[in-house]
Amino acid sequence: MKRERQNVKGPLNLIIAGVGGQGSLFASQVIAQAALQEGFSVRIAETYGVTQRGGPVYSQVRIGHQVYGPLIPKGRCDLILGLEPIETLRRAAEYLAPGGSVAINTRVNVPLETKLGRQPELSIETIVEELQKLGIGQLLAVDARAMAEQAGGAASMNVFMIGTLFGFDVFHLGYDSIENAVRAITHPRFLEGNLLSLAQGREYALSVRVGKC
Amino acid sequence: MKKEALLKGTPGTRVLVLGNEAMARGAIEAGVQFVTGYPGTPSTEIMETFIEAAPHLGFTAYWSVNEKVAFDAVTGASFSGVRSMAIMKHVGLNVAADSLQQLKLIDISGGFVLVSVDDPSGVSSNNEQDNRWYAKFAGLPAIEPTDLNDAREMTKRAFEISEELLMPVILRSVTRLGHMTGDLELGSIEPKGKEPYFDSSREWTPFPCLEPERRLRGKLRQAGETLERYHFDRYEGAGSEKIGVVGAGFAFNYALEAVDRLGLRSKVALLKISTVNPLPSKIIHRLLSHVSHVLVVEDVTPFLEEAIRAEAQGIRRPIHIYGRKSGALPEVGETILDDVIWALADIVRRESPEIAIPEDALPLAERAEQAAEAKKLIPRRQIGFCAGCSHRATYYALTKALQNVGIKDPIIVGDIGCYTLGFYPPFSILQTMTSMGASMGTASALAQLNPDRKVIAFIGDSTFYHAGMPGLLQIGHQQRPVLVIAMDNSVTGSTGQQPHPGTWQLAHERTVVPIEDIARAYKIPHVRVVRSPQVKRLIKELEEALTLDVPAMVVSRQACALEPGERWRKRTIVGKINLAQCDGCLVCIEEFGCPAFIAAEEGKIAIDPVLCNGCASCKIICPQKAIYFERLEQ
Repeated sequence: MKRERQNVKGPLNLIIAGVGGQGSLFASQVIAQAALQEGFSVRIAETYGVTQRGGPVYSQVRIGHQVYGPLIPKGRCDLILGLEPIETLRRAAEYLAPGGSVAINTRVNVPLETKLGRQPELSIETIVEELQKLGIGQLLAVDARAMAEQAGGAASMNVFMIGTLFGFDVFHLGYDSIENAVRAITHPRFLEGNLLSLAQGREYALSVRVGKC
Repeated sequence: MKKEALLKGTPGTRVLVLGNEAMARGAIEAGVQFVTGYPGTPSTEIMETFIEAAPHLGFTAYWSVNEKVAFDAVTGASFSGVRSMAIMKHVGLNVAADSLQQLKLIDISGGFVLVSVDDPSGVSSNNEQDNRWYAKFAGLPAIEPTDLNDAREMTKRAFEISEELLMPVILRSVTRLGHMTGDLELGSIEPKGKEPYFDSSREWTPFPCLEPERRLRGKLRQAGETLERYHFDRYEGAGSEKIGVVGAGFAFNYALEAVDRLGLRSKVALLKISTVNPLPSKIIHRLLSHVSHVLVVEDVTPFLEEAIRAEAQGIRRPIHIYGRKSGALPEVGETILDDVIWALADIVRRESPEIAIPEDALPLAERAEQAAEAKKLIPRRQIGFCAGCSHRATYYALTKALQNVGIKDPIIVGDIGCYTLGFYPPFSILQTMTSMGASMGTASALAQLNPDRKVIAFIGDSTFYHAGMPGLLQIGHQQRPVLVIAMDNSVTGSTGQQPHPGTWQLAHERTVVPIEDIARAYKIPHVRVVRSPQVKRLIKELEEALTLDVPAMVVSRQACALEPGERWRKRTIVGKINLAQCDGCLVCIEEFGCPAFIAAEEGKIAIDPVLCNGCASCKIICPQKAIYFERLEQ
């Protein structure tokens, strides 16, 4: 069932947060292609240059009938697709709107300096607590790496997470257009796995009925 | 073909593209025949689109060794009568500026478009630089697009303008436009122009210069009239508003969105300025004729703000101008939407308090504090070299060689490229860096003036070809005892693995010019080439070179671990750690720091089999000899 967004004033503001190599660029392309198919205008701002170097990456994606620049004002992001928990908190603290929603992969990518014991660890429990302090609307937390391993393979974690967006009221794109977009831009070798993970991500989000905080 | 839709799509088709790709499409629509440039974030994808398109559309596109060579080649193409384009990042134009300042005095033939992509905030650069000043400095027409459709259309029109005025046209873009993805509507592709022909019957020189200088002033005045016809600039207002908002180029988006969000669409006047030089005075005066407060939104420097302030001097009524110079917007750093919303809201609240501003239109102020608070909690994520990167092996080897030889206070000079990460942990080894290729000249003087200390200069392969060669020639000519370590990963790595004259993997289709051959020709008496993953040998060679009192070069060579790894090198082995032997000393992480090292049980370390690229550089680093390699089944 497709739900209408409550806030129709401006575009849907979405952020994809993760670390280089997790496929956040791919995720933003899928969502943008799907939006284009549905007749929306779309603007994406990406971080470039550290994508495969383990650095923090995030994309700002804006979808609407009229979109100007790609930048989202602080505290006005409707939905965060969190591929990595630390990076999700980093962006949420700055951008999440009051009542905004968060989908989060619970698998922490431990930074080098933490491995060396030079800075304290940040657990997933603390991260979720901190997120809740920001005043979240809906929150979905899932070990997407494990789920993807069971579905289309570990590398399809990003696509599993895209699938979970269908559990959120604010996400208004149709499953067909997302699936078409995945078909259009996935390398044939990984297509089967990606489609499987997409379907399972959606199924998972609908089965747990994403709770309101 | 990945970009098929962009390259061959019919007019009216909507496609998802990068701003950089939209510019390339615009040039293709204009029937461009010759394109070259030097890679540099944020401009790289323009050229990459051309390179992909060239064989399909039948024009010339290649990477040049540096921006000056690219600019000069495009000059030759324009002199041959074909539409041509030179592409570079903001600092690249510094390299080409000498040619720019001469060419402006010569009537060109084929349309010449110079693309300069500025990098506000220096996201991928060492400086912020506003290349609109180059247009003013040289006295050349310049325009800057606002969005994707503008990027396509203005690029296309720039060729016509250049041919009408017989001058190069500067097209200024910024990182945020170049790297923004969005929907673009395609235009029609014009038929290709005439065959190249160089007319020897006319003169193509600027001297004696006074007459051409005089003519340039006249041509620039004519440029103002020509540009006006294209309506790149736009005024929106009723002619009675008290407040005006001006946006230059891409920053106009923020002006527009701020006005929209704050519900001011019919209450303030808006001005989009895409003409950089000469200043579009008429439309600016249309705004100044009725406003008393003007917010100017632009990237990098108060170029337009100062110009508008100067224009306002002539009006006998106080007009307040706000922008980067006045302090209404941050003086440095990329213009962002939030700053523009706050600045505009501030002006409206003060000057038109009768207008109510909805609270939820503003950015959420508390998020700034929360982000600062969260920062204390959120761990840093230091970026480092990729798994399998040869630079890590080279820095590690030098660290060991310096210890073994007993050199405690070396002077270590860096240069521009991925290896600039050598400033950061775990190596923290570099001490200076300025511009492309500067390590050579800097090191030569450091060696002369600090004769008791060993001077070592690191330079990447692409940087060496780009601007390092003249500096090395001087080291050879003066026989300064610098140890040059050429970090040769055979491509321009940091911008996305573009080929250059040393790319041996392409030896079947072009002539390769190895760094060591150049060094020998430049009379560097000691030149050695080592494969980077052979770390033991690398340490030995560096130890020897460190003890010499003559110029020396060690080339540390291994293909970049990213893209070429897929294309040019198959991974055959993968690293393993024998957990029974690992004692959790963390030397592998503290001294080497490959991202493939991950935490295992009981404080021990394991190797991520997905991330490990099988370079085997880490084989010798473990004091417990716990690292070994296994053959991968193919």
